[in-house]
Amino acid sequence: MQIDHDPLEQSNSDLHDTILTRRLEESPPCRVLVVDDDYLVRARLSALLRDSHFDVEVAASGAEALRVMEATRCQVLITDWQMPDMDGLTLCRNVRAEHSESYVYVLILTVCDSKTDFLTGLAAGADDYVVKGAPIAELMARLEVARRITHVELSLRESNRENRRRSVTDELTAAHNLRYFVKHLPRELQRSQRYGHPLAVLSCDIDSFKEVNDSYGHPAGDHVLKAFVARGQSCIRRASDWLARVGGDEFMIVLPETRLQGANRVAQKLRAACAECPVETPAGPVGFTVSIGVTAVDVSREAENTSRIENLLRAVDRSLYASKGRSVRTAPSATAARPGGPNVTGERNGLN
Amino acid sequence: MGSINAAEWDIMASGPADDGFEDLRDAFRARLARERMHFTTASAALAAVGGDPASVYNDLQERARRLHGGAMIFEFGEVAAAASTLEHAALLASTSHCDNTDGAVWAALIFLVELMGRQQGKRIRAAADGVTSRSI
Repeated sequence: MQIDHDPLEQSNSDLHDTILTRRLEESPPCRVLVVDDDYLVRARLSALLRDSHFDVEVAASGAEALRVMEATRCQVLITDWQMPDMDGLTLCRNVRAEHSESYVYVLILTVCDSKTDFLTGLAAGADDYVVKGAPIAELMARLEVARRITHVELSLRESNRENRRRSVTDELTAAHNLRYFVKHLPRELQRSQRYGHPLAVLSCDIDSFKEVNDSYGHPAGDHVLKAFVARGQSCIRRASDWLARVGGDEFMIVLPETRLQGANRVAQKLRAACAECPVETPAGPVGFTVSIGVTAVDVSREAENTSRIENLLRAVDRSLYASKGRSVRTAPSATAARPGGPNVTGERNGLN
Repeated sequence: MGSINAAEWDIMASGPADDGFEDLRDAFRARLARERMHFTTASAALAAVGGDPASVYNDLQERARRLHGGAMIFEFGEVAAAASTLEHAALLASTSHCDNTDGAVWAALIFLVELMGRQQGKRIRAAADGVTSRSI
């Protein structure tokens, strides 16, 4: 027996799907946790939410909801109020007290319909309050609001993260910047002092960088700076060592857990890596060398942190200066032809 | 997301033709039968209780509360209202330390059991008047 379908109903169903698909194509993913001690209610809400392209998790109690949220990031929480074990308001308060990185939009869905109940729910930290029995359209409209708000929150969070990264990152080379260096070197020194572990610092200066810029142009100079950072990163341990650009052509490399001998090896390796082959630039291949000052911390000394930092920086500067001095005495003519460019080498020198 | 016009919302509000609602509603109706039996048993327990009926009142309140919520979701409005009445009566009786003859509780309990009896086996159609919206 053939069953006749209402063409209007079918048409509306197709249109419904088309509208949802079109509107939700640009929506970010949004996971909703449905909390209700009635499994039929959970099933009903889950079906509605999945149909509207939400990802859905479920929990039968407040305590279970907290466990789910610990394992899975949920942007929206729909919770009943009165439940055994942990009620919805307590759950809401716990969620708010959690101070997680991402915001959870909480909607209380309950039979409690007095104004006092409504205010109590919001005071507990809920963002919205819907009485069971309200039309579907109302609930779905409120959930679209939740989706928009969580999307805005995500965007803001990502923007903040990017701003924080940029604030400590050199824009040209993507190395850490002076701000990062000033903030983190004292910490490294403090850790070294507290645990009696070695710490070494390299001060690096690209030889005759001004001449590189003058001879080949600033874009070429930028390529040289980026190349130094790349070659520097390849000479250090990613997990612990770090490199910062602290001036135009000046860089600091911090080597925790490293003594003078090890630091000298890193310096030697870095100098060789820089001198090994020229850098491809818009002005053609440009060779460069680097002078490096090396110093290591003497953890046996009792001096205070600040003065030790000053001492450390003074020592590494002296080392670099000495290295530069030796480089100048051994430097070839400044008119050295390409591809070598300035072809000086700085000898390593360490102070303890 | 851009704004959605009224016509689109009407279509979205009606939900897709087959969203499993009726299956869940049937499951809830089957539950009504089980709950009716439980309330009947609870009434016997309340009548027979010799000492403090607080535990019976608490059980009635909890059952009625859950029934209230589910009935709202699955569009059993009369059941929802009756369950709400019983829930509040039982709560009041419990907090007031009433004995097992509290009139409000008995009236609400009897009404709810009879109402659920009438619901058994019935197919309740959605409201007419061109209303396509469903409640949650």
